[in-house]
Amino acid sequence: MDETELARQMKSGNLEAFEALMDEYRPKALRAAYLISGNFADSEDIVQETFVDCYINRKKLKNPGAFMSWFYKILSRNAWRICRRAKREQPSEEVIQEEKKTQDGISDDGILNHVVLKEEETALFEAVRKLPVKQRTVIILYYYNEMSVKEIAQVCGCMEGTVKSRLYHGKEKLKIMLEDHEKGGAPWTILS
Amino acid sequence: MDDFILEKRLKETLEKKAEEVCADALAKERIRTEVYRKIKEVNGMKQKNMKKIVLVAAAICIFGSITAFALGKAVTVSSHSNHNEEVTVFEEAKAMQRDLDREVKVVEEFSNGYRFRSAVPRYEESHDKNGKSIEKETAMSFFYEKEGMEGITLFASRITLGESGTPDAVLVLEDGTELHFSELMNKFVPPDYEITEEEKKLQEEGKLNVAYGSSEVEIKNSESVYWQQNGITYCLFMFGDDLSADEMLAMAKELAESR
Repeated sequence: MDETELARQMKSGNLEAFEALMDEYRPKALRAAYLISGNFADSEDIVQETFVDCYINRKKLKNPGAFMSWFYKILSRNAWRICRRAKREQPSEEVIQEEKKTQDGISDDGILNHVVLKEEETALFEAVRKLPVKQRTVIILYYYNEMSVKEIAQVCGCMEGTVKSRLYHGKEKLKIMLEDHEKGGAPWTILS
Repeated sequence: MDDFILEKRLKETLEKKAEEVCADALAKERIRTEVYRKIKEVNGMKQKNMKKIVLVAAAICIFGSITAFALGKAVTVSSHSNHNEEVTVFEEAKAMQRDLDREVKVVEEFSNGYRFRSAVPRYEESHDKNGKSIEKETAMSFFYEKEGMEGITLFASRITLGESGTPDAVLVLEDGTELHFSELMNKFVPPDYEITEEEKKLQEEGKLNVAYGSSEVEIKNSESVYWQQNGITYCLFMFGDDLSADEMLAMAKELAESR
């Protein structure tokens, strides 16, 4: 059964189809949510709530063929909401410390895989994390989820021009932050 | 830095960083269990909300059911709303109303200070005495609020709702529209509740509405103004007696004479 048919079946309340969509979407969604929130516990919450919203609001899915955009639209809204909540609940210094620990792959009760990032990769991801959440989401959906500008516009509920603008300005900010990082001592090795 | 290099690095870094997430069988089971638990929880809450709204709607629909029965048409009119579809911006609510029926009149504010709070689509269905569906319609419910006062609800529908009993007060407008004010006692009862002879009599007189579906018996008085204009049945409704008949009729007049 293809994705459109699964989405159609889910819309009519078929739990097996919903389960199949969860299996298909969970790994990538979890990772995208992690990249947006920077926190594993939050990323699980985001994905759980996204699946719940998906099923509860399944009748609102107008076009089963566009399930992916619809799904990531719900996911990004949940991610933005949970990121806002996390910021409110934690003093900023703690957020930074939490993020640092998570980026080092040692937080969240050891659930994370131990991945060693090169210094330049760490600097780049830290720069991505410093972008405003909506700009960060666009960057992640484009470069990690490999969505088109059109699809991201549907996900974010904005014009394609806004997506292009967020991508452009996001990259410009990243360049500036990386340049600052280089000046601070750690060089960014440009490899072709 | 060159865009091409930045983009290449960005992609590689995000992919590598994402690998930190352990999307294994344990995570799968944890998420799956939590998703089903929450779906069950939300569905339970929805049913509770729905029940409450149906109860309130039942209080309104007493007029329709009794008169329609006398005409040999509808016996009951049931309705429900979904809290998730509620809108709190008047222009949005007005646009939703226009999509459903352009002729229905709504206002954002009444001169006595009641202001628009929210609106929600209401799904109505009338059934004959055998339970067969006669008519289905989607209409809007508008909610108005004023500090320190009980809220007011406005219903407008093309399903013909009549009126039982004699109204407690009537106001006739210049165009001949009659606004009927009535006070009503609403008794919310469990599904197996058996009404007494006295309650039957009060029902026939249009003084009592018995609404089934509550877990315990609860009595609430209500006030309403009912009128028909251009094929649309309007009803302004509130629980309690915060407003006098004149005040309720004045609000209805304001709406009926609005453009």
